[in-house]
Amino acid sequence: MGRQSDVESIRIASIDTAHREGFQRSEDDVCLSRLVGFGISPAVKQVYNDQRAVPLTIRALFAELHDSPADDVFCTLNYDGEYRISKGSAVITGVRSADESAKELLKDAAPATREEAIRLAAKVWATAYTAMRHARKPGGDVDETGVRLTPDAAFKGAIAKGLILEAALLTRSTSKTSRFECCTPELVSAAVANLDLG
Amino acid sequence: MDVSLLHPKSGDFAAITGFTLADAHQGNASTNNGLASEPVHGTTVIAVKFKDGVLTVGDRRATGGNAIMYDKAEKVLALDDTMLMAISGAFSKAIEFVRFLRHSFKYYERSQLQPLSLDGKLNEIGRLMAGNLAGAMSGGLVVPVIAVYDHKQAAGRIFFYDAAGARFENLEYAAAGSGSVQIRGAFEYIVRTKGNFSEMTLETALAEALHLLEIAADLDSATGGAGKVLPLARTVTAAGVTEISDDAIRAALGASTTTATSI
Repeated sequence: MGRQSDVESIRIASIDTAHREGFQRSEDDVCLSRLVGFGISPAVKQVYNDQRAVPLTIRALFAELHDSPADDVFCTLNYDGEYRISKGSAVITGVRSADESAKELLKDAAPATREEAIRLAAKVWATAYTAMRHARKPGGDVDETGVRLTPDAAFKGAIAKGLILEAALLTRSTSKTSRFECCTPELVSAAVANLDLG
Repeated sequence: MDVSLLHPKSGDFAAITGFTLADAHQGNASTNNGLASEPVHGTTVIAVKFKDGVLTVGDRRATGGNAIMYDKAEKVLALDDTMLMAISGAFSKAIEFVRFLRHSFKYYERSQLQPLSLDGKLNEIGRLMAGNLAGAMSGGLVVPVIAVYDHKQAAGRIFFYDAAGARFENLEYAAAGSGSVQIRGAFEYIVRTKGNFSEMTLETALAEALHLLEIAADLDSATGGAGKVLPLARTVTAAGVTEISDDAIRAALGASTTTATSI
């Protein structure tokens, strides 16, 4: 998340670094901790510390898939180059309270199927979205008569006004050459339609 | 700290890896592999269309001069989910081509957020072939047969290249490698007596292709027969690349193999 041009810089830098390593050595030698820790993070930190340069406006979340869910690795990267490696799940949002709301929901969550995972992710996103709206607009969203909306009503109202969620999966077992898979709009819509945020 | 990381190179895979075509010019007839006086070569590969796409088969033998170096070589390799490359000729060079092309296609798709077009992929292979011309002249000749599923035409297509990188499209079949010369006329015989490969079922096309490969093995000492190690067979269709199981190959061989021989 952040400014689109900066997001693109980080995305391309990550792909360049991973492919260079994968071709010159082996795909087996590409790993997230080295990619971010020794490649991307130092470069971002150097830009941040350079008084003549404009810092990158980004926060990034990386995910690395392994044979077992217990071995999957996540990494969050900040605009100042600081990064954090985690297992199980990771979240980045625009404000601290939204981060905390999302992490609370993800704590101990263990979706068993792809559909459950998408539903959980949609719920976490919606919860963080409403927490962020609340932080930026004290009192929360209100309807046309000035009555405060519940988080559920506020989120569904935003969806009705055209808010679009996108989602993607990393598939552990596939016959395709790529494990990355964009979720169809229908799949995301179905997950969002049945959300109950209270 | 390398801040230049944050300045992308426009999706140019060769630029980010430092791979140059000069690096590909390592084919050398004097290369001594310790057991034979010539570099290791792959032998016979065949691609035929069938009604759902293209079937590609290859024997498993790799030779160095008169020596059999390896009998489990994989010579039918997927470049991505829509393209197979069957390789004959200098084995080391061919494997490097495949590795470069796999990474290059994937890198383009990931960095540019769209797959490279079929024409773009075929041009990239042609550039690689042209860049290897000097290597080809000194024993590093690679002769690839490309099988693709063209989603725009909703059909399988077969291409081959000459040593200088010129691209040609075959209508029904293609073969390359030392055993391909001996069986060339047999392809025409099948088309003229049994009809086009592109109208055959996979089972029929597989039986015909394996039969042709067995004839090549009978007539060319560098081509391995199915008796020792089963050939490798892969298809490319609208659904992607699929490997034909050993059981299906055995069944097709049972249907096609005869003990009769004229030699």
